[in-house]
Amino acid sequence: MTTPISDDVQRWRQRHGKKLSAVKERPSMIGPPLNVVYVPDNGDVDAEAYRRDIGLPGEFPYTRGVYPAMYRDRLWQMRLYSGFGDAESTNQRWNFLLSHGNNGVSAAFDLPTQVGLDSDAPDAIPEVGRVGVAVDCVRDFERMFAGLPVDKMGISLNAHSTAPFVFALFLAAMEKQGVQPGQITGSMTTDVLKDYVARGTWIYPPAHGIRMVGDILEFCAKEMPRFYPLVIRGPDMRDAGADAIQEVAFAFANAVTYLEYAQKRGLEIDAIATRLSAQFYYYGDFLQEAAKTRAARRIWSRLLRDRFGAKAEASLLLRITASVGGTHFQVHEPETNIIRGTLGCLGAVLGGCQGMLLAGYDEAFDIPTEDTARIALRTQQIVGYESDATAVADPLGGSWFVEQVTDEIEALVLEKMAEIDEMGGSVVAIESGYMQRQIANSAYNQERREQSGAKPIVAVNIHRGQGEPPELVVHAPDRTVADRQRAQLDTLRAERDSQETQRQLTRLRMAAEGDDNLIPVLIDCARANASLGEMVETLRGVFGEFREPAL
Amino acid sequence: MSAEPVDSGRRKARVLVAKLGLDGHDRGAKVVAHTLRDAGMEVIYTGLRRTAADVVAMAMDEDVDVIGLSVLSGAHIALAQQVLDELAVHHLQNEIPVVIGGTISPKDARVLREMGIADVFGVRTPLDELAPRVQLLVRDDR
Repeated sequence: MTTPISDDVQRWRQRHGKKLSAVKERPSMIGPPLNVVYVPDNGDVDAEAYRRDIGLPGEFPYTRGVYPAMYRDRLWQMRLYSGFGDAESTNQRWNFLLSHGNNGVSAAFDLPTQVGLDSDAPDAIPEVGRVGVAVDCVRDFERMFAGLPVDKMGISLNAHSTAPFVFALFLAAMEKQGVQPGQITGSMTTDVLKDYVARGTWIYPPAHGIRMVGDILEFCAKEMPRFYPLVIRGPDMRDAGADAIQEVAFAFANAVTYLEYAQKRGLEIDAIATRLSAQFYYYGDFLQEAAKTRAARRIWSRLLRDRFGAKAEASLLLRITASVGGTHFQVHEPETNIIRGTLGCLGAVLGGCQGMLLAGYDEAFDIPTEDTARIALRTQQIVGYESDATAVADPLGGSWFVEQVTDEIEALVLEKMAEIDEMGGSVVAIESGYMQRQIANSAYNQERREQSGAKPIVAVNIHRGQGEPPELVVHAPDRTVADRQRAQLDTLRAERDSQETQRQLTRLRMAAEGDDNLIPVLIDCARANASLGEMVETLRGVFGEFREPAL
Repeated sequence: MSAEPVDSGRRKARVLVAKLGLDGHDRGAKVVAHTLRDAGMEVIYTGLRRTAADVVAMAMDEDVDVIGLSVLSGAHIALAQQVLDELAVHHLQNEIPVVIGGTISPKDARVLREMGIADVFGVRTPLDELAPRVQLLVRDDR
């Protein structure tokens, strides 16, 4: 005979008693306090199916969230993606955000940094410091983090393909400030495979990119237990036009590639999977985005348990960071994007995310100003502190609509992942252009739907109004950053011990030709004042370059 | 719904869709390529991170009728000028018209036209306008 769900709740309360008893009482609108979670009455649902597919928050398969008390215990990490100009302007903006309640910092790097060029490279100059901060060497990281409580705040590094290099420069700078790797908390967008699919910021062929992801996983498993070294990313693909199914399926297919590779290298699954996390986009269909989040956690827990034999609970639960505000932020009447951001934020919160980046409403024009960044942060805080979306874990659980959509998304994602498996895995799916073609087709169909009005967008394809709305004050880029970065590089090259720099770069080349972990060598290069571009170039000589498949 | 094939009596226009600089946003470029192909044009897409010299060399190799640039990094004026200058080096400035698309303000659109850019496609240009506007630029005598 099946036991009633109330028995599960009792067991869950006992097991998580410490966490649950620590939560503050939350009064309801009508008086009596709210529970942390609500479950179906006995007899409402098939208890066995509920137990198998939905369960309770903080327990397998994590459909209802990764922590037992969810936001009643603590809110998500609000960490705006931020960086522009040089180290000083970025440091100043970070201080501004921290003083308004941003939890830590999330560094945005400029395009030259993301593709591995120094600021004085001819192709780099028009882009230096534009979409993110310009960094070339250890000194930039020292200046950027000067005066910040680096051992007490989360630090997200968003360098993508150049993550290993940025990581080495960052760690060398932290070392100078007396901070050891083991003290650092935060995360890194090390997922390089998505750069071939969507961001276009690739450098080396995928096999070498994967090797360096493995190097980082191995290094962090040993040295940085508090850091999340690999964020599996969907948002870049979603922004390029992928639908929600492609977003999750392609991101997870890439994760499978990393995990299989790490296992081949002899890394224990529970030594690495405990520190993996994922990132997804949240658009206006926030109820379905929430369902997507629930489905993603369920798929992940079973994937890790059944396919990879993970045993640690921390390996099975997927922490998710939300990206809100990309291509669905409109150029026309930009302040209306504040509402679009709120909808996305709600989807992420109702889905139970652990972190969030929300774009400024001026996203379509330029990087955010102080004002638009402040509003992006306030949006999250208002949803977090002033609404009851955070009062109970998984408030949508048990909705016929949301549960069914969760099941349907799960089935479609699994189907697409199986398709990629049959093809030979995500690298084949990337090198053949399969993922890129699928995304390009979705983007085209989406554009058609938006242009025809089948997908309504207020003030864009319906209710346009008359006349032009007042012009927005956008970020004014500092055109002198490239000159200052070049002067710094000139000084660096004149002052450093060039023989030592050369010696370390030679060691890097030799390590790359063999199988050694490249991270310690990259840190040595950074200590020896090698520039980011010099390190990237050294490995280009060994690894070669990725060639885009024709579409 | 897809665009009507353009003026089927004339030969197929060949269009080079190009991405310049470090900007990796190719969603728009791919949507444009798809739209022009649906309209019966032959489209060659350069891929990412091309220089002006790469683009003009490809335009000559592929014997295209029109070059379409997609720029979302904000550097549209500088990059358009580089392509026009490179065409002039090969004495092709009056042979191959150049058009551009991206997040371009009306003011910048005027500047681009004055520089010699043949057409400017801002955000949300109706897809069905693309092929007819490109076709207008194709010279029958080439």
